[in-house]
Amino acid sequence: MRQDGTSEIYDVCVIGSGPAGGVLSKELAESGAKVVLLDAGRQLAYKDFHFHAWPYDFPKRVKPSPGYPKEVVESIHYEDSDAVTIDRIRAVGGRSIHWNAGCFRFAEWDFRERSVAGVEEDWPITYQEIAPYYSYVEKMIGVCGSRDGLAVLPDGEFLPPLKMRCSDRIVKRACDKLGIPFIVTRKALLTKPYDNRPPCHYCGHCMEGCDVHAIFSVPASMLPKARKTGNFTLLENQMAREILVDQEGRARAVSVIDTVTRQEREIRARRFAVCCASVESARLLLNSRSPQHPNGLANSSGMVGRNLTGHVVAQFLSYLDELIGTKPVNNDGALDHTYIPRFNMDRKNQPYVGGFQFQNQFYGFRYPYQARYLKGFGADFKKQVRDLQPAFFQTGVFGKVLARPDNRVTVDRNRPDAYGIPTPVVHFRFGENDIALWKDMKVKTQEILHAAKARMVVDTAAAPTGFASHEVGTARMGNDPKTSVLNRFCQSHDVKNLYVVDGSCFVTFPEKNPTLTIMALAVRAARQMRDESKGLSNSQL
Amino acid sequence: MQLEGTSRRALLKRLAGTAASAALPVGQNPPPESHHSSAPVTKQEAAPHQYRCFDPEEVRTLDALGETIIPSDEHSPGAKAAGVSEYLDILIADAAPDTKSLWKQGIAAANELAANSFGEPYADCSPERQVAILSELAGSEDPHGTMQERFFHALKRATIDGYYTSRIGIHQDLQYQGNEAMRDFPGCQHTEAS
Repeated sequence: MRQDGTSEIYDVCVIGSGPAGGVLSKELAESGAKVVLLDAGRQLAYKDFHFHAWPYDFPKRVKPSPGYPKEVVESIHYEDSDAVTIDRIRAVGGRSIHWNAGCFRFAEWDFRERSVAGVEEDWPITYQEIAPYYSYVEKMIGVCGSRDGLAVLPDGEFLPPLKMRCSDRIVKRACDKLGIPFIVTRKALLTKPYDNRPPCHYCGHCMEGCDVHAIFSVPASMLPKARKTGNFTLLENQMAREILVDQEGRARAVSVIDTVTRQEREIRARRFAVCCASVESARLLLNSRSPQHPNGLANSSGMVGRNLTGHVVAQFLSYLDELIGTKPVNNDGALDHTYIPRFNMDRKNQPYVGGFQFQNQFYGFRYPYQARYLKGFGADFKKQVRDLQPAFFQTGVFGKVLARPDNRVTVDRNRPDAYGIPTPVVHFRFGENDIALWKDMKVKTQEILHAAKARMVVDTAAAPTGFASHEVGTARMGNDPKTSVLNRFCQSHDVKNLYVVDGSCFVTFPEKNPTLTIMALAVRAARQMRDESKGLSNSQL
Repeated sequence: MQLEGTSRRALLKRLAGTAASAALPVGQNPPPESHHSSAPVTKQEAAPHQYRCFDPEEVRTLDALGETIIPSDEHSPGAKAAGVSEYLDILIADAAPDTKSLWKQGIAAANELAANSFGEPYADCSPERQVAILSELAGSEDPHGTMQERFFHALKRATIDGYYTSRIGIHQDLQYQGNEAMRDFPGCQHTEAS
């Protein structure tokens, strides 16, 4: 691998090495393009992760989470915002090294909100167009799941499903009675050996990095394949300051600062792909101002940074009567094994549009959260904590938030980061529809847990929160350059050799997790770049 | 346990005249299974903890307070044996000045209440008296309430965190079975009643 490529002109420069940039780089390199992949973070080593460690191995009993330096955490501001948080990891692999791997296809109607529900906009692509890319990605990364035949959650190419725990089955029984589907979840997690990776060993540490790579990650699964082509260069610790343009306004180089040496340089390429996730991608475009693009790159529409959305979240803890006081068993598994897909499809009887889904048991089973909510202290308290522990059932509910232009990312030139780069500012308010949906998802959760005979139910937040790392939508796709940033291939309307390939391109956001769709769109963008460079049109998989 | 306000006061008065009762039984559980002890021994355990935030008398009070919240019983040792006060010291030493001062004030308030009610420091009171004193401090456990309530809330939360992240809390008390490599995950083995 080359360490330095300043004199070279690459075919494609990919900025950001998360699920989007990682997949895009691998696909492009395999198609013969000379690719340079930049990340502001470094490559993490095995020792950075503390796999399988116990809390008492650390003085403050907290496992260090690699990839979140203080300077990055502090270089974002929220103005006039509700309780939302955006975590911006800095590490090669991006959030693919710190994810729970949920992989859910969007439904056919999720691409057509305007046509179906009369809100937001339709996507410029349909489910039928993206379906082959979903299949391609599922086979490439390995997704476990069961085929449930639900229109709300189209089936994919699955490895064997995870197994339900006792607590899952008790809640399933309750859902069966209520007529609510309750299924095994779908994750980029191996339940059998696949693609030269071993299967999950069910240690329950999925969110803290996987030592055997049973969970898909870019460094383990994409980068080796990219390197094998001989077309691929990875440059770590490269923080992008701005994208520079030529006289015609086309992207010609990205100006980067090495976060270790503090040296600046330009990296040149024929095409650029911005893959830094919604907030940082918008930040980079808005910071790339020039006489040709005075409002920022790819921003003649003024839509860069706008329509920021993400999930509204509620978290419930509960303790199932049937399991209280039973003998402790190893429940860890691969964290969440089950999923309740959107079921509120009867639009006539609800005062809002959109749906919500439930992911169960991703808090893990070691820490007794009930201790924080039980009143009192002493021997009775201690026994109650102990007796409730085997009965734990946690569910996280993720709901749709309507995309609105006022919810946006801007940059603040008066607040530069450690490298002198203007920092992002998030302006976000939940709307009436979002609050109505959030209230209903809490009512429905209580109904389900009541039917499951939960003795103690804790609703952990009095106000709606977002986005649980599921933020999207700051450079939306569309057919009209006046109202959208990107065309249907994630290519800038204004700057033809610039692509934005990550959740930024989403037109609307349903209740499902975004990453599978991000990766499918990345493969599609890679095909478009390949064909365009060869003068072909009508990209095919 | 949750005692109503007036009865807490009554209990304090009643206990003021009684002699210290016998110590609570200490846990006799066997040590954790060998596969649970595979974790590396930490430096804190190799050398005695050097307290940075609390003085010896405060540590003695914290040990006693922690033991009132999570006592030793027939099932497992309590907060003191689990070394919770060491964790509290590490936690509070790096905390904001306001937090530090709340803890110092709270510890002093516990001892003051003990001295006024029973004529001795909190740590020397009988377990029953300690329960009465802590119930008085706890109030309604309001995290935004009086200084005593705020202290109790912080103390209880940190004691819970310290205890249930300790070897004793995880392995002996909760009998946590996870963080193990498994060849397969069995899932629910029960047969569903029709």
